[in-house]
Amino acid sequence: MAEAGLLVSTRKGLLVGRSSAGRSEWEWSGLQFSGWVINYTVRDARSGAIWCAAHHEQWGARLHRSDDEGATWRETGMPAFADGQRSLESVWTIEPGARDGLLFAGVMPAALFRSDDDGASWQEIESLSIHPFSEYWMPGAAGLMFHHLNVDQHDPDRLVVGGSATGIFASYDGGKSWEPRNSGLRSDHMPPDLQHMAPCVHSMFAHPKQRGRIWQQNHFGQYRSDDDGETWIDVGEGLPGEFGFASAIDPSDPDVCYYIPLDSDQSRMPRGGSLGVYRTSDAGKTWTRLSAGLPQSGFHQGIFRHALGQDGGDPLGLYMGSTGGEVYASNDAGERWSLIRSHLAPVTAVRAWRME
Amino acid sequence: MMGIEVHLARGLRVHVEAPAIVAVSGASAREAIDDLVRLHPGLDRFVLDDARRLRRHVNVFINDEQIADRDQLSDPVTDGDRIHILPAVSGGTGEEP
Repeated sequence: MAEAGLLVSTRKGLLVGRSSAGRSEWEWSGLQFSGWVINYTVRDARSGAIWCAAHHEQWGARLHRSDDEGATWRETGMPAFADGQRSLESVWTIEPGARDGLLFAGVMPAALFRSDDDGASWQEIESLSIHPFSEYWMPGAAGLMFHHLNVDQHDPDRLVVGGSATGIFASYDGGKSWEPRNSGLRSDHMPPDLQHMAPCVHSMFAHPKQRGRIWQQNHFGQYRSDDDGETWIDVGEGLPGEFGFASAIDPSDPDVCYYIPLDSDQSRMPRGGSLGVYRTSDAGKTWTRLSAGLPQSGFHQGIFRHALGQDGGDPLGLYMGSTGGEVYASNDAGERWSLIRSHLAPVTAVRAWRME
Repeated sequence: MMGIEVHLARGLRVHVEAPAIVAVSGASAREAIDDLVRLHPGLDRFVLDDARRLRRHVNVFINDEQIADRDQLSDPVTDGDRIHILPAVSGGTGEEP
């Protein structure tokens, strides 16, 4: 029976879960980093290390690393701006690269950092920060940051990154140069002539098995690209709304994607208080609503951008955290869901891995 | 020589091992805080940001006066002064990931 590990980041700390009985029962750590906002926690499949991006409104941002699946932690090197002007507010995502010791971090204010020594030191990738399009970047409700880094796991020089509201940039030389990848995206927050300058990406995943395929939840719609973001295809027909934050892919099938449409950017909650996850298995032509076990009335919460995760198992395990501090899990690719945690602070991120 | 006392709030010492009062020297708040973080390096990230300014939600009082220059920390200090480093009450989180 497949089992999984689960990292639940919240506004008030981190929980580490471990499943048993075929991902139907869960054992939990105590609350770690109590009181700190945990933006993102992820496991590095290469080394098994877990990286945790924390920040505290008073005491700033920190990165922590665990080499024993979350039992103990140590503070690591921290990205920092060297220009004496900008100050790093928080790390929003951290992703391993395709070479030992290579890591990337997306931060607020919007910038990208890389580490070549497994997080001991970090350097800003300044070529992105000074890209001519950066003049048009503008903060969303949460600020201005890069929060989704698609790092090719075979080519260390190949990156596709996105943020709010920065639009999408691709690099094929390890970050020396960048190409905007916004063609075909709608940007209702910009005048007609500037639609391609700074779309508002909410979540974005490149598929590991089909180079060039990327799924995206945007502020203004759901999109698929088959050419590394050169062009984007609107796949939102059949979904109940264009707005949403979270998405997830199935790493074994490039045609599968999951979205959680929300009822407009004015409410940012599921329509009618009814929570549903939508899955396509045909590259976005049709959508199936998955809701068994999820609240179908009275659910007046949101789902943040990193709060839908998958474990890569077969069948796929899916995990979803809410702004009301609930965590739902499915061990059958979303067909049935169970509430596995409640009474937490707002869940900011959920990431999982399959245990061998 | 009397020196300058830096008083560290309990809310800060929850996170960093340091005494409640640290004796430092310097002619400005900058010099005094530099001396403080030299003596207790773990405090550095908690008090100052990347640009060596006071963190937004950290308050510094020199005796009973709030520090005037939060960026350069140029406020003068002299022997016998007390510097208080305190978490502001404005540290609630409002952002939406």
